[in-house]
This record gives sequence, C-alpha cells and structure tokens, in this order.
Amino acid sequence: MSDAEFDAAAWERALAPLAPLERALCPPREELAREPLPAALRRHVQACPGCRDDLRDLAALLAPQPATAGLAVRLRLWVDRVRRRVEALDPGGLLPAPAPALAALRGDDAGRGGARLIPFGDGALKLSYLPAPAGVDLELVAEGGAPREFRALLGPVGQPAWEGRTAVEGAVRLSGLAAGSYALEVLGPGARDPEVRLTLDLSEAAPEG
Amino acid sequence: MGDLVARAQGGDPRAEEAIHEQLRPFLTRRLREARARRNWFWLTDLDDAVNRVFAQFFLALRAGKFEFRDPTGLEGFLLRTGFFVIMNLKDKARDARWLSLHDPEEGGLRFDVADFARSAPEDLDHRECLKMLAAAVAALNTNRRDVIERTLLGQSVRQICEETGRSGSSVSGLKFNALKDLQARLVEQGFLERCGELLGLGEGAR
Repeated sequence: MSDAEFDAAAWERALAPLAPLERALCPPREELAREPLPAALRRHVQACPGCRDDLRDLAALLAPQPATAGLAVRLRLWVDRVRRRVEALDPGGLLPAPAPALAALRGDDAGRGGARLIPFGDGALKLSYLPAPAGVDLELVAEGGAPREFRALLGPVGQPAWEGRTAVEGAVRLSGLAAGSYALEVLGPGARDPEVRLTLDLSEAAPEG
Repeated sequence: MGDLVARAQGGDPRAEEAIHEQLRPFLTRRLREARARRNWFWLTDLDDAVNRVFAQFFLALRAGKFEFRDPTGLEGFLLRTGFFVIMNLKDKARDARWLSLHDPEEGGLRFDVADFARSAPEDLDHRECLKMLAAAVAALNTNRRDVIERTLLGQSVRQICEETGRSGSSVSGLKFNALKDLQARLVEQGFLERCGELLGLGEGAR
C-alpha cells in the first residue's frame, strides 16, 4: 500500500478503544474505589495510566489540603536541621537533644512522648515520630511477637487514604507529613478489619499531658 | 446528624435540605481544593458539580446504600459520591479530546502497552487485540514508539510537540509512519480477521 492510499486516521480511530484513555479494559469505578483494592485490580492499576489517574483524583478528594506548617513548626524544624548538621561536624556534640517537634498524639492507646508501644498481635508496634526537613516522619516497627507483615493506612480522620506496607523488616515509614489530624489504622496479614485505630494530631501543640 | 440522615433516607425533603445546607460548604471546599491540586481544568462549573453530587448522594441515601455511623463517615460517603460524579465529567472531557494521561508528576511516560495488555481481564475480547498491538508497538523504532504511546495516552500532535521539542511536521511524520508500520505488522498477523469487526476496521484497512 502506498502512502497516499494508507488511511492513518482510520487506524488511529480503530486503535483508540485499546488505549487506556477509553477505559474499555478498566474495571468500573465502583470497584476501583474499593478499599483495599483486590490483587487483580492492583495489577491492572499498576499497568494502567488511566486508573492510576483516577485513583489520584480520588485521593485528592478524600485527603484534605495538607496544612502548611506554621512559623513555629518551621523554626523548630530548621533548628533541628541545624542541630543535626552541627552534630555531624561534632559527633557526640554539646547541644542537648531537642524535644519532639510536633507531638500531640491521642487515641485509646496513646501515651506521651516521641515514641510509644501499641499492643499489636502477640507483641507491640513501636510508633515513633521524627521531625524531618519536609515535615514529620512516622515510623511503625513490629516488636516482640507482633506480625512482621502488616499494612498501615493513614489519612484524614475516618478516611485513611494512603497505604504503607511492610517489606521484610517489619517496619513502615510514612514521610513528610504536614501538621494536621490523621487517622492511622494498622491491619495484620490478611486481616480485613484494623487491629489498631489511632488519631494522630500533628500540630504545633506540645505533647498532651 | 444521624436523625437527619434517617429522615432523608425516608425521603423527607426538609431533612435533605438541612443536610445539604450543612455539607455544601464542606463539599464545595473539597472539590475546589482537588480541582486545583489535580488540575481539573475541565471542571469549569463548580456549583453545577456540587449540585450533581448532592442529587446522586440523596438518591444513594434513599436507595439504602449508606449506613450512618458518624458524621465523618457521612462526609466520606459524600466525597466518594463526588468521585463518581467527577469521573463522569472527566469522561466527557475525554470524549471531547481535552484530556491526556501523560502525567509529568509520574515522571512523564509511564505506560507499557504490553503490561497493560497482560493486566486486562481474561474474558475481554479486547485483550487479544491489545496483545497483538503491544507486540507491534514494541517492534517500532524508539521515536515512532514514543509518539504512538503518547497518542494512546491521548496526547495531541501539538502536545507531543510541546513536550518533545519536535516540530509539527516531525511528529506528524513519525505518527504517520508508526501507524503504517503497525498496520503492516498487524495485518500480517491476522489482526483484521480477529479484531477488525470489534474495532471497526473494514477490508479497506488492509
């Protein structure tokens, strides 16, 4: 077939239904919005730019606009960053350790301070929150007889939207959180219902207590 | 709020009005924020979208699709209803060819036709056709493949020019030659016999 005879537009139209933009191969959005996503759908979402785009739209709706950290918080983060740089130059340095930068935590099992143990399985989860240049990092580590594989869901209260999953070391880190209220749910391996539910208030407030 | 929801589920218009009044500012704010964050440039009439969401929301309530536990759960249900309404509006924008899935936030082109074909449900007729297309796309040279993948993601020639720095004639030429390569390879592999009817390709496409 010569170039003049070839109908490129007809072929482009014909291939369009095979494109992710058309959603012909995608699950209904009701299924896409299910929490958690079944494994087969997760595989599809990983390969489908259209579904990934839809899920990011859903996450943007469910998660409120991250609050901008206030001046006091930013100052504390800056001081902490400087402190760490000084300590890098002067190991074991002379500066006292800072108080936790953002630290109000409440919930049924909440204690006080920058880290605490939460009963989980036959052991505990160690929950630590650490100031970082881009916000606050939360770390969950399975200890004792706690399952080494677990899922942590974090998001606005009542709508945990972001998921962290342990790899092999029994730890999840959720990074760069802005000040605000978050719901944290932790599920054991294969569980459908959370075993741990906490509300985290990451704010400028000092630790409750 | 639980009482209002129960009454709205029974079709009480005054309860619906009260819920609407309480939740409208919340929904409007969330839609406005999400529109800005996700660049929903096609969502031009926010009030209309909010009204559509509430219409669906009250239908769903009356249909018993929601069980009230707490106000936060109700807000979540309203937002999920909003998601479906917004996705319908997005589909309309897509039909008008306003949309592209090429997402710079995802590092640009993150689309592998072969992966996409493997993830399609087994029972879909499209799956076999997509597999054949994936093999043919994989055999294209790098530049033609890039243009075809961008086209499948919905990018227009103008958008491809903007992102690749190529001229309009260069992109059009690459696209034409890529489609011609695809046609030759697909026809040779029996694509027309297997998928021609499904995709509206007649004998003239041979």
